[in-house]
Amino acid sequence: MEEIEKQKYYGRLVLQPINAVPTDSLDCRPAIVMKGNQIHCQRCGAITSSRDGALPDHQFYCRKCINLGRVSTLVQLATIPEPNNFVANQSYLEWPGKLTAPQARCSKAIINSIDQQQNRLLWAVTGAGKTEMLFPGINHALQKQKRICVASPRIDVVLELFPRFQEAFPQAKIALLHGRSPAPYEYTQFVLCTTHQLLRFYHAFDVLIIDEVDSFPYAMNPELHYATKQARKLQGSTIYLTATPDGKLLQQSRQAKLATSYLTRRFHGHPLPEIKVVSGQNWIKKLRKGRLPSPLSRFIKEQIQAQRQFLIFVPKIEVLPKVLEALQQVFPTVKVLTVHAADPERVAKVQMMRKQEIDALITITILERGVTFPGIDVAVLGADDAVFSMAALVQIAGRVGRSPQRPKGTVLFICPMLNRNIKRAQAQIKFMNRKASEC
Amino acid sequence: MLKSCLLCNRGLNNNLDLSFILSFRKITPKLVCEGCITSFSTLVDHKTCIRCGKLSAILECADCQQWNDQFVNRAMFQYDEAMRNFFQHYKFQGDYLLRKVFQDQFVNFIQKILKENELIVPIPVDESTMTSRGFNQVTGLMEGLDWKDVLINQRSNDSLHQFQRSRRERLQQDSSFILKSGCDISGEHILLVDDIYTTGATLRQARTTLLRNGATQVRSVTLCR
Ligand SMILES: [Zn+2]
Ligand SMILES: [Zn+2]
Ligand SMILES: [Zn+2]
Repeated sequence: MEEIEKQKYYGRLVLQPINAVPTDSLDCRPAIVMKGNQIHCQRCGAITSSRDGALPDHQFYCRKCINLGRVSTLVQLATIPEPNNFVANQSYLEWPGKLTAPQARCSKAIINSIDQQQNRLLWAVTGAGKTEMLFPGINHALQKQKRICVASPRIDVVLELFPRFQEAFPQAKIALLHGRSPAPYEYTQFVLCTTHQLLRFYHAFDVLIIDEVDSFPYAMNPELHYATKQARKLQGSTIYLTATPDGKLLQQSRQAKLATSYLTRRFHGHPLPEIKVVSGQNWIKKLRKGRLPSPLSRFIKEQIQAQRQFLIFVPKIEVLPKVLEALQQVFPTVKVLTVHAADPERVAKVQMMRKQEIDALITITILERGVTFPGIDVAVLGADDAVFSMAALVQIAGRVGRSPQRPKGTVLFICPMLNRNIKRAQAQIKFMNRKASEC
Repeated sequence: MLKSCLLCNRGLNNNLDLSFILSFRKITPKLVCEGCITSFSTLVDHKTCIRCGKLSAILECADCQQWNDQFVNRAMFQYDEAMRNFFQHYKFQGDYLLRKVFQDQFVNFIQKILKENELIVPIPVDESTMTSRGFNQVTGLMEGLDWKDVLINQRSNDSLHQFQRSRRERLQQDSSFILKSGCDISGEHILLVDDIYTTGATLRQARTTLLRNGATQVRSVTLCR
């Protein structure tokens, strides 16, 4: 097998027909292992019932990871162990910026973890500038011939990161992999991908950086946890980046099983705006009658007077038109639109908000990450709804006070009662602010 | 029991209302959510072309006027964006479980139009597709029906060996199907079954092969048009 052909297999899991002629260069193993009535997928780790994944003639397939190309008993997984065929001692970083002292401290800790082949949690508040903080660590790893990957559960995050990395590392070839990319796979030292794409790798990376680790898709997907484990080499370092650690990571961090770096200050040095909760009894009933809940109309009035842009979050898509209607009734001069994840005009609407062509967006929880408008305020209607996880609430609050010109702002939650997620979100923001004032 | 929609993965509530509980209908758990079901466009009870079954205001659609033959096809659904998306997952991605989405309806539909003396013959897939896909998407939709496998699809062989054939042979070859050896279909009335009627060329090729081998009548039914 020629080198160029082999590169397709370095640290990858490539599907091959089960009856393909065996070659010496490839390590092949079954893609599906059957245990009784269970289908054990060797690519995504899912265990499913044979009833759901049966093909004719006693063949079976995995439905869980099917959009990466179907894994079945008709194929096998072929790989070549990652050889790290990269140039040594080559510095790729050409970033003119400078890290703040706390950023530099975190950055050093990352380099340390990479050298020690240890995992690390980087707990950085929203707006801390965590991407820049990664640059020295990535460069360090590249110089040491390590293969590195930055992955995020969210495609928008990946798409947003790509040009920033490419600008900081102009000489490095970065493979950008996600479900919508039509480009064929190419072997590179530096990979940027959605966490879903990690399922196609096998013991490939020495350094695996997972951004937005608590985003919804990751928290809910055991397969993706499996993927991060599979994609990294047995000896290596995984760096978890989050603004809102939750569940297992938080537990491991508290028990000191996972080294943790904090970046408690935003890059402009101001604390996070805290969450203000006001009781919004019967807000659903009011909306049904076409009226705005009074705390919300007070909030909007203030915005109009101060001439500020704002976001209103609602828990369900059905609520969007109701709020829009009521708002336009009471405040006919406000230029406002609704937007949601599946909205075909989503990008255009967000762009209009960025260019300040409109005053406000009414949206559902999906917009909360990555999207930044300087100097806005935020209201959340029905913040106690189950769709708003603790992480989502912290992220929503984190939209406010991003610009150095207006580092403060209003985060208003309107709901009949406080629930656990709201209390924990408030506590986490207070915790980070307290930690920031200590150092 | 499956708890989420086979097509969009959203949670399903299999709530049974009182009238259902008091009825004698068999309980068939929902597989697909209301939103996904309504995204497909049925052709049943709509004005369709008398030849190919396509949605058509006029008696015989433009396509069929072009063909100008006696071919007759019946179809259940429009082949629109939602259906294209369905087949992307079912056929091309190979999610065989999705056959269940239309299976019951399609089997009912076929049984309703089937004449007493008619023999059901599915359009087969070629050998290399069968090896990689592992199933025939047409027979997947027909579970529970009695049908006879009489055709062989040679499409993949053709493209492989075309260069070995003489020009005359290639020109003569007007169908990618041949009759399975040992099959006798002389005098049979045949109802061909396929997943999608797009140009109608595939079904006509199969019909040519069947008629040449002694069948007296051939019409067809497809899930979509
Ligand atoms: Zn799988
Ligand atoms: Zn659905
Ligand atoms: Zn027609």
